[in-house]
Amino acid sequence: MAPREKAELIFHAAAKILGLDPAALPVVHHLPEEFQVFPVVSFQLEVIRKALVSRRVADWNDRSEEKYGSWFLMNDPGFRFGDSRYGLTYSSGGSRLCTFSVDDQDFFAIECIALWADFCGGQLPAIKKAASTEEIEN
Amino acid sequence: MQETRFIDQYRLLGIEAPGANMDRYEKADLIFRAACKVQQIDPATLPLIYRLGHSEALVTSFAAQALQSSIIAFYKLQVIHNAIVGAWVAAWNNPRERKWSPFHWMNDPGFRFDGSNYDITGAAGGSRLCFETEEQSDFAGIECIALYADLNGAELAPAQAA
Repeated sequence: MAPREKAELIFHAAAKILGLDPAALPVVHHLPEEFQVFPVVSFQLEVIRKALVSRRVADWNDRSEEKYGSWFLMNDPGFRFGDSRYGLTYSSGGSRLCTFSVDDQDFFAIECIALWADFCGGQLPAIKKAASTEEIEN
Repeated sequence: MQETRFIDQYRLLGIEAPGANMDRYEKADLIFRAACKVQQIDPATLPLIYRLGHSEALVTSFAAQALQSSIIAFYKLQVIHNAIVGAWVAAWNNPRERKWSPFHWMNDPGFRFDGSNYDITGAAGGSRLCFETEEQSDFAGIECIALYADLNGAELAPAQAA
């Protein structure tokens, strides 16, 4: 399944869990084009995150609670998952989207990578076409 | 004093540095309006969360409560960012170029600036808001802290603690 289709599937499932209409997205058509992507993708990621953590809220004063975020590589050959790490009391901009286990965060980052690419302003790597039979034989 | 430290950024935005006692939300709004003017954007035009097919905003819904402030804060920060960095675009394939971002504390006594740090080829979610210089990142992280607090869903620390 293509990354965007997969992310869309997950978003629809998460919206269903939260009782939200997946068609109700932020309205951005009146904004300059360069500002239109983030509001929508931010909303979609937050819906998925909220369903994933069962609406749990981070306690930033609890030093024993690990808050996981993901890191991505932005350079060639394109936007790709790097790692999931945790913080305790600290934010670098993505604290609204933290989860509470490395497995949840890896799922969130890897399976929804098309949304994260839009969120970060990166380009997904080009998908190479499968080699044809003729090319394999040669 | 912060207002003299960031004189270049305020000059770029075409406004005088506000006084140190100005409310942090008012200051962020002042900077946003100046950044809009630089880019010829209507400051009253903001992202909206509507239920498609209906005219009323989802004012009481999860979406509105949890996300409206975050989405608007990010939009405002993006406008400010673009005004500050000008034509600069991060070159993610250039290992010698530092991309700066502000970091904040989320715990008690409240949301407050810690410092700016850089990355080279990686992003943790804030890559749309990375800056060319540490000074620009500090400006955004300190002078626009009210917007970063909204973006992160946090409460500002009391002014004296920040």
